[in-house]
Amino acid sequence: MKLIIREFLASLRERDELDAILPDLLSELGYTVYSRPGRGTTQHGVDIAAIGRDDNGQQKVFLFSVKQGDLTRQDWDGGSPQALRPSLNEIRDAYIPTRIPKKYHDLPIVICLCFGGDVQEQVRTSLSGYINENTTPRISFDEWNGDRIAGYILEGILREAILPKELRSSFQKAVALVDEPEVAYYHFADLVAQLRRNASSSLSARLTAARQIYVCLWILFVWARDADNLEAPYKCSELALLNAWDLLRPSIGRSNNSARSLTRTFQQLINLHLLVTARFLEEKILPHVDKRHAISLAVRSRNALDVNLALFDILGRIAMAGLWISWFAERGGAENSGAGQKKVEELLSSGFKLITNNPALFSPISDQQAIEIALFLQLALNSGHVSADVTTWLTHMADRLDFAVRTHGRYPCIYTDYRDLIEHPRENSSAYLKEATSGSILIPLLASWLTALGRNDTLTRLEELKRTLLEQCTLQLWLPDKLTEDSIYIGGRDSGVALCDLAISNNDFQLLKEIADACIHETGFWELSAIRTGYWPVLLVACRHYRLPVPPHFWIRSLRPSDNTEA
Amino acid sequence: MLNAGIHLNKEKILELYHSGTLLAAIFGKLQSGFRENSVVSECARMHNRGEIDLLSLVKDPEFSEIETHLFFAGQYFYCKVIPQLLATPQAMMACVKALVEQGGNDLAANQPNAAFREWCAVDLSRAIAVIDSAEVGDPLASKFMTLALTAGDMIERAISVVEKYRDERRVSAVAALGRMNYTDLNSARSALDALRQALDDQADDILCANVLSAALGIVEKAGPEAVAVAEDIVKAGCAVPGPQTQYCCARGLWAHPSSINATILTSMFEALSSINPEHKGILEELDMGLRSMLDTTFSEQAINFVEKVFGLADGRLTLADFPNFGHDLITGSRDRIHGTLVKWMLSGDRILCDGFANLLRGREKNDQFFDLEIYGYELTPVQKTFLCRKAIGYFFYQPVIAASIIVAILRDCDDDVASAVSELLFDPLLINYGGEIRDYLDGISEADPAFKSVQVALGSASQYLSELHSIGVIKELHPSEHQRQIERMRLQEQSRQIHKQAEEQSLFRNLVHRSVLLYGRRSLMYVGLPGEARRPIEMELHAHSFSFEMPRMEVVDPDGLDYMLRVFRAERLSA
Repeated sequence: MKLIIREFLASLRERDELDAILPDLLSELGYTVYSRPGRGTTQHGVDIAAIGRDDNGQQKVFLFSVKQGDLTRQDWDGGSPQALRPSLNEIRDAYIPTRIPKKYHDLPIVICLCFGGDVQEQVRTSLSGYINENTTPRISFDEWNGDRIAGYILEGILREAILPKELRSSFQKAVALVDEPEVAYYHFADLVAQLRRNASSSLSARLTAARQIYVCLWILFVWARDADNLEAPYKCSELALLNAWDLLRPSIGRSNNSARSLTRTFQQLINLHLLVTARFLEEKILPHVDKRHAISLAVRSRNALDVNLALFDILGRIAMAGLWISWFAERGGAENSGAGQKKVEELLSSGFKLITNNPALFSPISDQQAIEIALFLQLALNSGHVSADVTTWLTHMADRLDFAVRTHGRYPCIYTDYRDLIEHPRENSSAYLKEATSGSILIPLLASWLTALGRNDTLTRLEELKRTLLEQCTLQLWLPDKLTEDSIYIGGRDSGVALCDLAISNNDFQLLKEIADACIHETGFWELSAIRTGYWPVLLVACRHYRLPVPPHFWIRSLRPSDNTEA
Repeated sequence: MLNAGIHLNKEKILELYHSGTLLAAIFGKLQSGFRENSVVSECARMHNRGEIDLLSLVKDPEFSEIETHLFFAGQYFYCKVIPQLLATPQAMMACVKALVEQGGNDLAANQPNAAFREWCAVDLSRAIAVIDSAEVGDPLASKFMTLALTAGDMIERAISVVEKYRDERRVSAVAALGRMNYTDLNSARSALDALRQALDDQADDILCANVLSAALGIVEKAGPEAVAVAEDIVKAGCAVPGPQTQYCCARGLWAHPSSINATILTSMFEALSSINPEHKGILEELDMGLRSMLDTTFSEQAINFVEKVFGLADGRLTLADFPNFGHDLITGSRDRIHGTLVKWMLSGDRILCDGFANLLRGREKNDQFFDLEIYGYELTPVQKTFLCRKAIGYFFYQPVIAASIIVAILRDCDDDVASAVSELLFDPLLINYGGEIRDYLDGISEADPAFKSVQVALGSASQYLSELHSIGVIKELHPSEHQRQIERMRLQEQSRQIHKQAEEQSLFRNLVHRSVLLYGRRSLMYVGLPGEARRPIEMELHAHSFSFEMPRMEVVDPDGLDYMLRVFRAERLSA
């Protein structure tokens, strides 16, 4: 286990990656962190500052200067602003005299040289000389290398008392099998579920569990990054986020330290999730969205199903990334909104390039892919630009749906299991068609948007298809209810209301009106903690991750014309 | 050989006869012995001496229980022995009738009739007796009247019967007229006159059919001078064609091709144009007939007829119903293949285009390029582009063929067409395939008028491929091991099913011994020889494989590909 953590620490590539986990680690070890890493503010060489007790139980101020990886000659005194020696000088010259809070002025100070790897031999002499020369009765130096931090992680946040053997085993398997994402996810999910269940007793226990999930996710991410396969950490980060929200829910509205810390840990999990997302999308997907068929063929499968599933999944990830940014922009005020808006528009544009160059995205094979479609449409709504691209995409999708049903081709079916999907369509018969299309959330979604976009011609065809070949298909949408709050973040599916037997028609806005009425009638959505607190992307992540339809509350108000127009 | 060592001499035959096992011996385990000429002659002698009665054997109830695969060996014996036998016409007819009936629907079932005709020819009094019996109303004799008349080329007698009767005897005599040898034009004309007369006063389907066959048969033997007379008869016979008439028309196309001129062919095709697709027997004859026509100066008419009949059948007839015609069409002259290709593709007719594409698909090497010379067809720019789209629609899975048709167009088109067509060469062909099609296109020389446009398409394809390769490996997109396993299992199951089906459909399935080798790379087995000897037979195993290039879009966008191909196939040129 220690080896895994050491390797993780040594592989942290960015300075702020180690920064990101150290505060939680220190908190779990009993330190009181009073200054955290921040960007754009003068730190005077200190990345983290905390009050704690040394091995003798004496209370001291601990000032951490953090570097990534091994400490090399270049890192020590290579002339860069990030070199350690100048940072230490700055701590002594500027931070200690001016920045230590008054109440800690009398405490001895330990300057901690913190790095994920080891001190390289050629630096050792210089480092020792510097420490000897600058050690005073008040100021001492301490070396926190990867091995020591790994030890602290194991003694602290991942100590056996709170992470027993079987959970460690799940975690180790998740890390070891990071190149088999499904298996890694399975073990990680097991770990997260246990941690969450074990932590239900108190707020501090929930905080510890959230921190454990966070650190474990970091370790998994770094290992996966080294293996050049971010699939497992992406899925696990969604799961971690949702479980952390479930841990956070009971303390919503409370303002004590633990509650604040839990909220902070949750924020860190969002950041980590977005870090994984960004790394995956920006390095692997977005540079290639304008290359025709490139991403489809990168799936490297002989089966079109694999391509189809992978592409819709990517589209969902792009949508979620954009929606998170949109959310950040919304919360960040005018200052952030411009840059955020631009980023959202870029992601939307990339999504449409992905669609144009990978035509499988016009042909969902599983009705459930309506989730990704709804998310991407939501991104379009949030961007404020429902462009002609949306119309083209949805019109083609409806046309292809019509064609596929009529030719008994690969029409969207109710199946979700890979075995069923790979055989679909199993038969060229109306009996099978009836079975495979017995319900749909995709068609009402399409119909709603086509209504709003004024595509009456396409709606007419869709209506005719429903009336003739899909007569048995129950058109439906899913609305959360009062029971949804307690289960949706942890994968419960037995809640909510199916708004069913929706009718498509091209002559009025009846469908949208019916949906809007249902959204007013069924108030469960507005009672969800993620919605009440303004963390609406959490609900969307839950829908994507646990394969639940996106509630129409997100989009119905944007699609439905005002009452005057309707009249 | 099962009967090795048993000598079929007179005593043995007598022994078999008296023990009641002669029939079983002829049709059973001693059948090979009864194929010997000496045994046949011996049997005939014994029959003629009254020592045995070969004709009565077939009256035995056991006769009707003889299995088909044994029957024809015994039938062979009877066909050889019948002409040598002394018997009354009644007895002989009864025997031959039994033999023919036992043969069922097999093509060889009628062989005893030839033997009967030969028997009549040995002594024409037998033929006359049969005809006389028929004329006095003997139903059995009526059935043998044709054979009796033809045995002696009794033209006058046949004409007399045609004129005298309006029942089965007339039909028999008409049929006989068609099979006789005409040594002079006058007798042929007399026969044709009789046929014409018969048609004038009785026009039922069976008579029409026989008149038609007879007329063609007479012309074939009498020579071209008789054709003019036959034209009217064929026209009249085909006026209101029933299934029998259509059958004889179809058969006449291949049975009497030399009797057919343009007028006769028109009448026959007219009769055949209303063919019922359910009548498989007629279709089979027509298939043979059309194939036969391809070898004559009427090949174009045959092709035109096929187009017409498909149109009239409203989708119930396809080229698959005419396999022999299709085979000869596709293996015949290059000009004819190319002409048909251009004509049928431009027609946009689904049945014709599909049929043509299927013919090429069935070829052993089915992706060879067409060296199509488009200049001669004087196509408009719209037709040229249309032809290319059809080529893609129908030959998408044989991309070299599709590409070669596009290249042919590129050799003779204006810039606008070249641009559009070059784009088609890139997308969908080069986007989907990179193997043989690329080799073919790379082989087009600089001197070729298509070179420039082909290079444009190849350039686009290279750019496309380089973008595909630039993406590298994205592990996150790969299917999971679990999914790959499911896919592997599915493919294995599919392969197993295909193998099973192929085995079930194999012609050799019931003909050869099957051994499944679990180990090794050679097989060794011993087969018995006469006596104690055994001979080793070794067989080296060889690998065999089959490969085909899967279009990229089958993976990337199967629905889009399907849609595009359907559009390309369905679209028509506006009139």
